[in-house]
Amino acid sequence: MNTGRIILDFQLRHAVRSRWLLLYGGSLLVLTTLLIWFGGTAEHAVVSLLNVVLLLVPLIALLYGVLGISQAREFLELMLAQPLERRVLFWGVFTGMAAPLALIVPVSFGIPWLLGVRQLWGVYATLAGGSIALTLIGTAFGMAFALRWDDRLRAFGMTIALWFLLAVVYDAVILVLGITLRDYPIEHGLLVLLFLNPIDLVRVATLLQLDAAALLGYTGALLQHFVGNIAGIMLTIAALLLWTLLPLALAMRSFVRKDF
Amino acid sequence: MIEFHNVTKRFGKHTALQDVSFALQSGTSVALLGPNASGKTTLLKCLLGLIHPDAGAITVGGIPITQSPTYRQRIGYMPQHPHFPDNLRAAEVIELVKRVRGLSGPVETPYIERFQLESELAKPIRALSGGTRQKLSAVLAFMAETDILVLDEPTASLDPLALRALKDELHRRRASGCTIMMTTHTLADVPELSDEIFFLFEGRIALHERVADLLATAQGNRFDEALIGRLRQRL
Repeated sequence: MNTGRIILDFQLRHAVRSRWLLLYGGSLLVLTTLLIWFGGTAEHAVVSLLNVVLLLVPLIALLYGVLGISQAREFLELMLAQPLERRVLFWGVFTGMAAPLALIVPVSFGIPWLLGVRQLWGVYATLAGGSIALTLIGTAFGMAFALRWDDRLRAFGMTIALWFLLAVVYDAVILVLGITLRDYPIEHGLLVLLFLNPIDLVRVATLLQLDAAALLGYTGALLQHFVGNIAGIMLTIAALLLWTLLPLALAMRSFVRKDF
Repeated sequence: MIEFHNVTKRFGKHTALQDVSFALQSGTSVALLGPNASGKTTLLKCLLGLIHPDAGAITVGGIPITQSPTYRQRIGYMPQHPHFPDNLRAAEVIELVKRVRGLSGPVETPYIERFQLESELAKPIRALSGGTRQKLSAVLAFMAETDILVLDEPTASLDPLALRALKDELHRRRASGCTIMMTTHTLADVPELSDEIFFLFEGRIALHERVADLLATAQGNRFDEALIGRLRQRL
């Protein structure tokens, strides 16, 4: 077995026993069950669930990424004193951290979905894929911040600032732009802006599969035209992949250069 | 042979190592002494590749350490603060290091016995005391039977029995030609465990001397007095 797989195997064992992950998965399971059973129609429940995924998943992943690195500093030091390439250790640590966290979300809302919704499987697949992407992106950013700033409080502060920017401020900016420039043909510009925020990308990709998309009017039709077809889906996947690779490259660079 | 060539390391405005050069012959046991923040740990971490020097070069066996991490196959390391993932068991941590190093067979067993860790192996790390973690760290450093040992305050927080086991192991390694670099604040241990000392002060090697030569200058063979006397002359 190569050293990368040894590290991955070890990290997975560590993650599987994590009470923190168990708590996260359990909470999601309970929350999703409540939303599906008491959330009205399947579509209403899905929209509520979408908001949970969009707000909670990136935040938890960001915090998990910071914690995973800052709590393991001395252990990473010990591992780096072994005959290991830094890149190999980095991939083992990232995959071992992110994979269980990414899988826990679709499983946690998949069980109540299977028992309670039993339809809209395309929406489930989009939501599951989106939550996996947001987890990978969040974990990578969290790791990058923890590797960049040794001060844990500062790293946490930066992650929360990033989350706030992408999950809250970004929407407000788009709203202000939309109102201020409503007399201008800004739809294409907004479409470009959509790709600058992975949270919005997942939101739009999911909403377009629901009847709720009709409420978006002309913008919705435009989004449906550009994002709703196969090319758009491929573009969305490519954008999310880029969004994952960007923080991963940053984190890897920091990890390789860092003094432990 | 371990060689440092004009190694400098700065952390912001603080210079941790300033133009440090030395050559350590194979089989030598050296104690790194000096006040806190004098650069001892930084020096060891530079050797291990954990810290990247801003200038200078380090070679092990004539090969620059930046060339490949395989030189670390020759090094056993005890960090100053051993921490392991809380929800793993001690036995699993040992297994991980064995697998990464490609070790097979029960190489750890003699050390587990010497450090009396048998009853702790199945416990999760979070249940182990600081001293027990230090013993685990010793097992990890020794079990590969490397020809270089890098030990950062290895005697800290060890109980008397474990301390004896550690010293016995270091004696055995010295006799077998192992090169040992060790930081310590316990001056009484130095004559027993080291051939040479480096005294670091503000990132520079202020004193490099053979322990036997230092002891020859002291009344009653007191190492601490000999060291202080020599430092007064130098600093």
